[in-house]
Amino acid sequence: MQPKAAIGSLFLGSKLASKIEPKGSRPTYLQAGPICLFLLALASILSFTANLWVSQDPGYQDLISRLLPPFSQVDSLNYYFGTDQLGRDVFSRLIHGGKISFAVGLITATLAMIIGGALGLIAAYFRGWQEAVILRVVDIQTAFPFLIVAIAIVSIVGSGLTTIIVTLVIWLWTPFARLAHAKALVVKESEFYKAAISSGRAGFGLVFQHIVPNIVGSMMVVWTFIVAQTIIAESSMSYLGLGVPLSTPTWGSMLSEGRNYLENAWWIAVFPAFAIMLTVFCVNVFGDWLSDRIDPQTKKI
Amino acid sequence: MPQNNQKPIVEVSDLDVFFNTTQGQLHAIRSTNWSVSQGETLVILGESGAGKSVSVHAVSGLLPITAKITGSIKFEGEEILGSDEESLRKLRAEKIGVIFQDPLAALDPCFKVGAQIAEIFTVHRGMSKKEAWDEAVKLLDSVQIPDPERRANQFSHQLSGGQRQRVVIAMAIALSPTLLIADEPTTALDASVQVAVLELIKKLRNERKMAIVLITHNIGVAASIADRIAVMYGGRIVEIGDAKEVLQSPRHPYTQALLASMPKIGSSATERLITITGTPPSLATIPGGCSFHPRCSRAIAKCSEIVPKIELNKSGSLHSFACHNPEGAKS
Amino acid sequence: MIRILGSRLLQLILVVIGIGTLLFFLVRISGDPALAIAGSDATTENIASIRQSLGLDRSILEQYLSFLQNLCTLNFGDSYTYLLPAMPLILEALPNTLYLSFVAFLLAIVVAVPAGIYAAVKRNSISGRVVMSFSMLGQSIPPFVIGIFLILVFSVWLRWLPSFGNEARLSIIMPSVALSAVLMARYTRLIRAYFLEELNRGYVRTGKSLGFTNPRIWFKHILRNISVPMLSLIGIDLGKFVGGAVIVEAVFAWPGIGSLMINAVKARDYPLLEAGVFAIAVMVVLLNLIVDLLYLYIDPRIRAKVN
Repeated sequence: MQPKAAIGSLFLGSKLASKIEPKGSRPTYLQAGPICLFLLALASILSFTANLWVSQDPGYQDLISRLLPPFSQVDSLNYYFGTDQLGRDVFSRLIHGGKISFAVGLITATLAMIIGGALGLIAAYFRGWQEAVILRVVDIQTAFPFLIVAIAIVSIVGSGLTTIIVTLVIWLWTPFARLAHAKALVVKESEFYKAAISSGRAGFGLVFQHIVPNIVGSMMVVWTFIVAQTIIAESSMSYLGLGVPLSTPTWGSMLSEGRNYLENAWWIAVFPAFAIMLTVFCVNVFGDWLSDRIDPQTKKI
Repeated sequence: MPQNNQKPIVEVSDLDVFFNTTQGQLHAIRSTNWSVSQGETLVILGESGAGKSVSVHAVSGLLPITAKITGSIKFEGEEILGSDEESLRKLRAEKIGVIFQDPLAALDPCFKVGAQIAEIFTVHRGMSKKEAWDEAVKLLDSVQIPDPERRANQFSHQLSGGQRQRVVIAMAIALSPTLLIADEPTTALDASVQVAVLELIKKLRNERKMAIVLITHNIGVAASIADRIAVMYGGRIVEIGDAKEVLQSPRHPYTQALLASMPKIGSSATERLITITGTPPSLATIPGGCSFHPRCSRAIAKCSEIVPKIELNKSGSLHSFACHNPEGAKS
Repeated sequence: MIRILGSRLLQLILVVIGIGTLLFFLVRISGDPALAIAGSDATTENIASIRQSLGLDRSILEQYLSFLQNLCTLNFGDSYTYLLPAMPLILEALPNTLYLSFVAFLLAIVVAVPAGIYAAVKRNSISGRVVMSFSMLGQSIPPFVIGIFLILVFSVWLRWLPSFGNEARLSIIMPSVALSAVLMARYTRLIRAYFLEELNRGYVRTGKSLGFTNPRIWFKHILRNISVPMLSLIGIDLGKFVGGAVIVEAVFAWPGIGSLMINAVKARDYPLLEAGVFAIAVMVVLLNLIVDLLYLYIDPRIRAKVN
């Protein structure tokens, strides 16, 4: 019975016991991390350069050619993924739609990391009331279903790329702040930090020289997972019609339109669904791999 | 007093234990032979890392799945090495009781102490919850826990260290096993409590006629309870015999050094403690030949090459040891 | 105990006031609600009278104070779309959402516990890795995407299940599966991780030495011990869970609070929106409180400290 392997540590001490775990106990999909990163990079590049190589215009409506199944060909036009209810090429919309997902994902996560990280560092560096306030806000925000608030905000202020990004950043900065704060505190307790202080260094120079390098790795791991969450959040909001204006194709809005045509034109919804799923999956796999390299002790949840 | 005509409970012959590790196979326990009879107490004595626990738990079947055991283990005359998991489990339930070193860790923090003992009876004896609970309280009383009714309703973190260990002992003897394995039962306890717990174990042994295999690195504990002593070093038994003989006239250089290094009551405070130079090897790095030879003051060339076999003491008693160059031998 | 209740109450008040205020100012800043209600072809008098009836012609401070006052009496005004008091509408739709959430949560636990334990016990074999891969996949698929796939397979192709609303008995199946999938996946991984940690603990070895079967050790002892850390993580999840419920309701047109709020958003029905956000905030804090109390009940060590 496998669990008995764990009992070994009780007899032999952890050093020996760690050698006793049967070979290959690490999940093999962890090697897939770099592969996923490559795929994601490829996909995002393809999306951002869509104008250069995608032949069809994503917004061009041709009502005669509506609801065509995948691999249809009309005159010289190839509709690889079929057309939607307005005759628009699904393939082209899919590639162009990726722009929004990747852009929002990357920008939001990066902004959230910078802002959240800064706030976390402030809380850890100054302690006192800064820490109390920031941590309280983090706590309250974490427990609350921010999607509701995000919906409310976007509905009131109106949709648009900036609004979405700002709203998502407000939603997702908290894990960075928490992490930065916790790790910074650890660094502050360390020997070389105390040595630096006693030798007279202070202020932000200290922060950047000592604290930041130690937290960058873990922050990157969290960043990856936040990218995944952002893509999900953005597509959820697009699905609800709260994303960027409807003229730009997004995976979420394609899904929402395709929902009503599942009976007779499943391709309108299925392709963007797969796109979202595969993208988030790849990001998560890469995040897991990264996490294993940088912070092997952390529980992967 | 050990009686040679008592029925042997455990007979271990030529026991080797190997572990499959990520760096190859670890030969942890080498060719050990020992036995314990009904009512007898065998103490396995040695420093940490000598392999005491591993060799004893090969009997109870509690070693990890990566352990490979060769040789022979007989329990009450029947070979149990190679038995399937289910038979070993039944053996552990009915015939073997185990006491571990850390009583707080051994108890489940989420359940009342009484409930954990009662579970033994509901599972293995089919008792009702009420009956099992009453048995549990009775058991707590027999291990000298005052106010057992109240204590049974408490959780492990509400008990003192000594009380917890008594609870563990109670659980081990609940079904009147024929063999009790005690793995460093007093090491984690305060000095004042150690004696009491040891006395309890002795009392229970006498009442229930159990065979006991007790593992310890503490010579005082060994002296207090052992009928026979087996000294282990580097995964091997280097000396085994009647307790008094081993303690008073040890033959193996390691045993001699171990006993000599014990601080004696009455020696002056300025007298230097005699220590054995060097450190004991981990089970992964046991030296070739006699495991002790790098630290032995009597080592000769043969010691680093050939493993000495356990040989009967010339005086003919059951006291045996493994050394190429014991005192009194021709060099 | 009192401290926990007090802290939660404080949290509730802070959250409610904070969100309420946020919404209040956002609504006022972003445009004229009176205009939104009146429509684009209304006359100036119409707009003015609407504005007056809504009390929008008073000063901001006055409006805010009366807003806070109304908050205490749970008066959010009338919904613009239904022309009925907003909060009662929300409360009517609440049971549906609770039903969906509860079933989804139950489903997640019922699947995740055995799956997580299985993945832990078989962690070096292929079947264990398969379970983990599936759960990785499950965590990557947002609920509304799962919803779409479920509808495709079970409504369109197999014609087994209805895909809209809550008319039929079977209607609950797909929405709850869609909602539970992410949680299921996450908890499977969590349980596996916690379970593996517990395997090193002394009481597991004691159980084996007492001759208990593995299932008994796993399900009675280990599970009880991991419920404590699990519970605290579940508490954090509640927020995300409610968010997921909103989306799932949108996909399946499930008549709960989520649907109501989505429609309120589209129609700019601010009273309904505010009432909905308020109700959800209260619900989440209450749920967190329940989790805190459960925590107290399950872990005897904490109970002892409190007493």
